[in-house]
Amino acid sequence: MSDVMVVWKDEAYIQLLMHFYKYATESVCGVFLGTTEYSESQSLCTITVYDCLPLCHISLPSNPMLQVGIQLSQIIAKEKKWVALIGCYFAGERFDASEPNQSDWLVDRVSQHCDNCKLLVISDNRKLVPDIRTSQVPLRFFQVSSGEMAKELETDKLDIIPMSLLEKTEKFLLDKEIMESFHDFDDHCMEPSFDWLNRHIKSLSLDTD
Amino acid sequence: MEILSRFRKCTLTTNTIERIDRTLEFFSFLRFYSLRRPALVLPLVPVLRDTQVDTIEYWQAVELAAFAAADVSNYSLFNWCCDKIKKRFGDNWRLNRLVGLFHEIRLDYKAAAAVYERSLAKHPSCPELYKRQVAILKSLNAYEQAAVVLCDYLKTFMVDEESWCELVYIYLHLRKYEEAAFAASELIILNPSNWFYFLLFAEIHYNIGSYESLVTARKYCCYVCKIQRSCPRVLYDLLLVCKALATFSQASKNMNERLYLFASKHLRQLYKNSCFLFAVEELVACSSSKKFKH
Repeated sequence: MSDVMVVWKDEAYIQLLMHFYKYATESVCGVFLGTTEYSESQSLCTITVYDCLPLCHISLPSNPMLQVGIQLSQIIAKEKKWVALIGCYFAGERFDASEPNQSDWLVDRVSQHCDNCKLLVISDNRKLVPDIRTSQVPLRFFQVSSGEMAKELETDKLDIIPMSLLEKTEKFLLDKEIMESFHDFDDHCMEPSFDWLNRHIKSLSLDTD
Repeated sequence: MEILSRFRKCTLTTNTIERIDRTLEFFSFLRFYSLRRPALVLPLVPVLRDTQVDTIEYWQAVELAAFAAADVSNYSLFNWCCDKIKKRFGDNWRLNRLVGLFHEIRLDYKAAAAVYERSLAKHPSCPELYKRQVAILKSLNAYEQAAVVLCDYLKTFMVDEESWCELVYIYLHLRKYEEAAFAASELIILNPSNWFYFLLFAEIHYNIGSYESLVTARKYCCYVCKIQRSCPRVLYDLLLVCKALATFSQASKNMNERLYLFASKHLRQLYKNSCFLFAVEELVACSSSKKFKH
């Protein structure tokens, strides 16, 4: 496997953390849309995460809506043309839940619908503290390939989350109205007026630059 | 957004008595719907601190503030709430539950379990203490044991809907679908007016995946469609079940196709004014072209 670098766009990181914090007492999962670029020598793979689509927070992995959500995410990615479904994320409900074997089922499900699933992000719940500016990045990154075990990526090979993004994320997390208006696909399936693509949050995250 | 508008009403008024009333009403609303919103509860705690009311709503609000403090590990506020309750009511099972919770948030599950056991010895008819024991087992990743404890509890408290629901989710976590289906059927018997329980039953049978289970799932999905057609989840479930049934040769192709087209048509109607319609159209078209070739 080549070395991997992960680059985050603001709205993707913000939505990811909003999903973790909104359903703090439940397991959550979702997928990433982005691009994968290889260096000329194929020794470095840069994964740029442009968007995060929050999918489910109810009774994973037996939730049939997960299957529908993944298929719809794949269709949305195809429609945008310049991004693909490149990975998925999972946050366990327990404080100590941060091992990749707890999300093998998610990688399998996503891989059934796309060949590009390369990135698995798992929340390290012990690092999800109230002051996110002082904490370490609460994520563990794994490179996934079909037929192989997930390989954890060393954090020094990843693009460090800049303080400006952490501060921006904190503003979103502290805003009660924005948190109440954030919804995932499970919420949308119960109430169709809820926008699970959270376009208003994407536009707000661009406005607050 | 109703919850936010209620919260704002508490903060916008300057009249002290009105603020107290609205705060207590808001806390009652949260308790009634079992909503867990520490971000909305904690800013209103100063109202409770400055109040000298001795009503049941006030003390229930203090208890709710304790839970919110536990959610964010605010030990000083949590201790303040417990001390206040202890001064007023002395030692009782509700206070013991809070003491146990204090140990739980510090991850001292042994101490918490000991508190609950001692309290249960004095008050064996307290459902909340049994539930905390189940919560501890879940926190320790002992889901099998949690299911056993919950089943024992349900032998005594067999009309506790919340516990049957929890049992369904524990069995789903363990991928024990037959047991989950039994627990879901108990939920239907307890509350046949709740359409969600029928849908949950259908989804569990979809997960089982055998021909008979899928036929059962389809029946229950159709029943829920009759009463709740505006919920996308119901229609998506019907689509998935019909798609899965189409792989079985003994399935009735005509009925399957008709139900699939029914679900597709209603999904299109549901999304007709949404920018998301293209994705639903493609999902429906892609699945039907694979499964219903003539």
